[in-house]
Amino acid sequence: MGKRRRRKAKTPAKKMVPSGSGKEESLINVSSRNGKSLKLTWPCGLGLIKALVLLAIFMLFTEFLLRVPAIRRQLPPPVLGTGNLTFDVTWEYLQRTLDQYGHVDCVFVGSSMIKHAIEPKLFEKWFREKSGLDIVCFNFGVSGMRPSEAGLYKTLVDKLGPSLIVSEASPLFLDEQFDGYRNFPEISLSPWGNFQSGGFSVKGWLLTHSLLFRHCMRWNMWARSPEQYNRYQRISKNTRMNGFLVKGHGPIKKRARRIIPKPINTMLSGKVGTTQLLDDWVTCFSGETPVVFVEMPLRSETGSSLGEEDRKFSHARILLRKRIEERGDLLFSPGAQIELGKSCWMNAIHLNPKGARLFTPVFADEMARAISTGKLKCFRGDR
Amino acid sequence: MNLISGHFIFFVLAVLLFYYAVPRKSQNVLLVAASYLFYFSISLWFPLILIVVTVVTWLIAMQLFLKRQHRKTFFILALVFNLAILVVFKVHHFFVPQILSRLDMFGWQDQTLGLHILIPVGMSFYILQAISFVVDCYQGRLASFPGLMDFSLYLAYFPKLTAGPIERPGSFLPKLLKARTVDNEKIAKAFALLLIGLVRKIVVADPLLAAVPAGLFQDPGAYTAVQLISMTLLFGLGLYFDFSGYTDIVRGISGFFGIELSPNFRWPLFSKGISDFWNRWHISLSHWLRDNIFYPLTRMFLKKNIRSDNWKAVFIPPVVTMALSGFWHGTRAHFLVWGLIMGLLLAVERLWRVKVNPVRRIVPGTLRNMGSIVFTMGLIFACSIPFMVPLAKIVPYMKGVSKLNGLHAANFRIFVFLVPGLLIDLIQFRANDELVFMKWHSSFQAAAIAFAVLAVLFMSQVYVPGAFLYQGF
Amino acid sequence: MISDTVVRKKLKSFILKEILRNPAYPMKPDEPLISGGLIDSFSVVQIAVFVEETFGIVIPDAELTVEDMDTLNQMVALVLNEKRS
Repeated sequence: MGKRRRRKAKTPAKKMVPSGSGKEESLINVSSRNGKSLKLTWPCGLGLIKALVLLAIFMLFTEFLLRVPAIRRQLPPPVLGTGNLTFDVTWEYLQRTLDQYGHVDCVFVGSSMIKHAIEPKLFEKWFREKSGLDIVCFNFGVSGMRPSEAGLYKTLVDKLGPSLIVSEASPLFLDEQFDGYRNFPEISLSPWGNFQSGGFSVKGWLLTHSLLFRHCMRWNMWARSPEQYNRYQRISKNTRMNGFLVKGHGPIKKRARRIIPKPINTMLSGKVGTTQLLDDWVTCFSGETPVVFVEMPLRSETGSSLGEEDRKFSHARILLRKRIEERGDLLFSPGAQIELGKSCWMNAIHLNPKGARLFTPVFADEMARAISTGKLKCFRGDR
Repeated sequence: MNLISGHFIFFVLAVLLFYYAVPRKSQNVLLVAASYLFYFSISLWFPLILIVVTVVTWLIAMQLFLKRQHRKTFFILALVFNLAILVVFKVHHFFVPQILSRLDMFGWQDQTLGLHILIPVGMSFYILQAISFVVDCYQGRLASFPGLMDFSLYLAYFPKLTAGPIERPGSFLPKLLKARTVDNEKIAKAFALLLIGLVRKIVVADPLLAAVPAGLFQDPGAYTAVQLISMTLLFGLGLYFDFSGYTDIVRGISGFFGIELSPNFRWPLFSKGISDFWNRWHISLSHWLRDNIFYPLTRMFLKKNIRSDNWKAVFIPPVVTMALSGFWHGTRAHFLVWGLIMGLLLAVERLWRVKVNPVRRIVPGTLRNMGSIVFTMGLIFACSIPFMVPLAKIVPYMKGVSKLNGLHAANFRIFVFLVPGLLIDLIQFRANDELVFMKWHSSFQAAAIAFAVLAVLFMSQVYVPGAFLYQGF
Repeated sequence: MISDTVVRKKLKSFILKEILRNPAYPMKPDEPLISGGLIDSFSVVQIAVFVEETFGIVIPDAELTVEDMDTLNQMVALVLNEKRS
């Protein structure tokens, strides 16, 4: 072992004092400048640890409580922050449906058109009578849904593991700039939507896994935007647990005609000439689960200004039908078999509950027939 | 680098790691390096200006400290240098666009003058600190003269660099120079301050400020009277919780380094008079102005006539002091108007004390106290409107308010976000102790921390934490 | 050397007469005057000027604080300290 070197004693650092000031005392304790700065002893941080443990217990307990179906059903639906209030409500009701039945056999996908057109409970009842099969259906139509959201939509639907996906076939597949989109933000761009597609964010994670956080978002909406919150409450009230959207409107009154939104042909921005969006949509949804199409009815009135658009749209509808046939997919057109007069419509593109009550059984009947003739293979008998 | 960001958290943790790894004598050097690194992350130019201010001020102050001759000359030189820098940046920021628009009217379009020179973040704060240092040197209040590194740290110390608090050399320099031991209690206090600050900022201020539309003060005609009043109130309260939150956060961060920063607020929402308010709001600035402007001016007038009814002494010092406060906040005319109004209020309050109510005993808990608080805050709010509304918009604003309409259109639910902030303030105020929570039973402490952490976590996701408003001054 | 009693008497008289304007007010020597809201910053400067004129002592602006001048006792102590130094 070598000799230890003796350390030279350190002289105190020179400090400047004012000349002749007489203030020779130093504020600096030099020797202690070399001492240890951090002197932590156990139990340092015990209070914080206790708090974090308490927080974890509280969170777990609250999340558990909020997921108890009896409690969950009593609370207003929490928000997802997608900006699309109909979607937020629909998603919550889908979870409650899964809580109740454990599964969903048939999912209706598309926009607000299908959301207003098909009443799942009625569909299940008629389908059961015609085919003898007892299935659980959910109307997963989303107001403002656009074909470019197919990827996200498919991800969500896949998680349900349905036996059949029924997609609407409507003008929205002809035009990405469809005017009906303008009030609805893209769900896939929201933190929640992005998280579903694999993009991580803390907010996305919280929205996906924490019901407490989603209720916190709802309370924030209550405080920050009463108008938006009132709308959210109305949508919650008007949406049934199976996803069907009821606005509670009766037959269209004469006066109401003046506030009908612009005719559907003016809602299309570009030329109707391509079915690329439809192909993209179907490609996205293709998989093990069979996908069928149901053509959405469009309001027609002879002798009125809306008759002209009907003629323009006949071309669009032919295009869609042709393309679906070419692909070999099944297309149901229940609207062609019934008369949907003006008392069945809320506006140019949405049926009202009366119209849905006429449309749904016919569709259920067509589907039951397709299954019995073997045209459509799905729903195992023992399900 | 935003103070509420992942980058800043990572930065602080990294600095702390190195801070406790290096010997004590190197800690100040490390902090200076870290502070400049932080400042460089905001802009490449701002630190260069700070370096110039630091070196020049230090050199001149050294002459003041060590020499007996020409002290007054050096003192004036140091003052002029620092004030010139501050005024040039503030005036340039204001006047150049005005000059350009006038020249443009005559067809002269030279864009070289239009370099948009921003006021460097933190300049308004560190210049005042530099001036304090020079004044203390001149008045012989410093026992020892700091080295350049320590003085650099005094000005550039990163937790307080962007928006204060404005520290005095007499109290702050010894903290930098003496041994710093951080023990359990200091860590706990630092954490408590940090958490309280985060609640004020993220849970209270951000939602309140997010509810104020960007065009409220630019286009007051678009809003009803009730909307104008309620949203102006939201803005004022949001500003308070934003700035007080900032102060608590930086004090907490600084506490982890063992360096205590001064408090900036003492529950101003419970002020019982105008001067009481200014002893509770932005204390570091108020006291700086009081000590360097108000006291000398008042003393000068009182020496001629010591009586309480010396009107010059009653009116001129507060009006000048608050006018300068207005100028410090901004060179636009409405800040000056605000300052003048506040100065007049202080003078009028003084008169009232002299003429009407010479003895006032404040008895806690009485109705009179509550009345004083409500009256004071109402007056402060009303007179703060020029602070928020540009002068050109004052008339449309007041016209809008005078319509007394729009009760149905206003959203009062937003005030629910005030509850946690007011609760914290009330508990601290009644105990006269900002860290009263540390005296609670450990179970209550744990519950309070848990709730605060949950609220901060959730609200930081609901609202994207914005920049602190006072960094704009 | 000025005595505690003289300083106390003169200061108290000045405060009661000129600042509080109530010579009959029962001011206690340890009563918080600034933090109690009885006197404000202006009055503090008045006291400083009075001390300067009466006792020839300059109290620097930095010492016109609640910590140094809240009670009559503190003011007297400040004056006597300054006088000694």
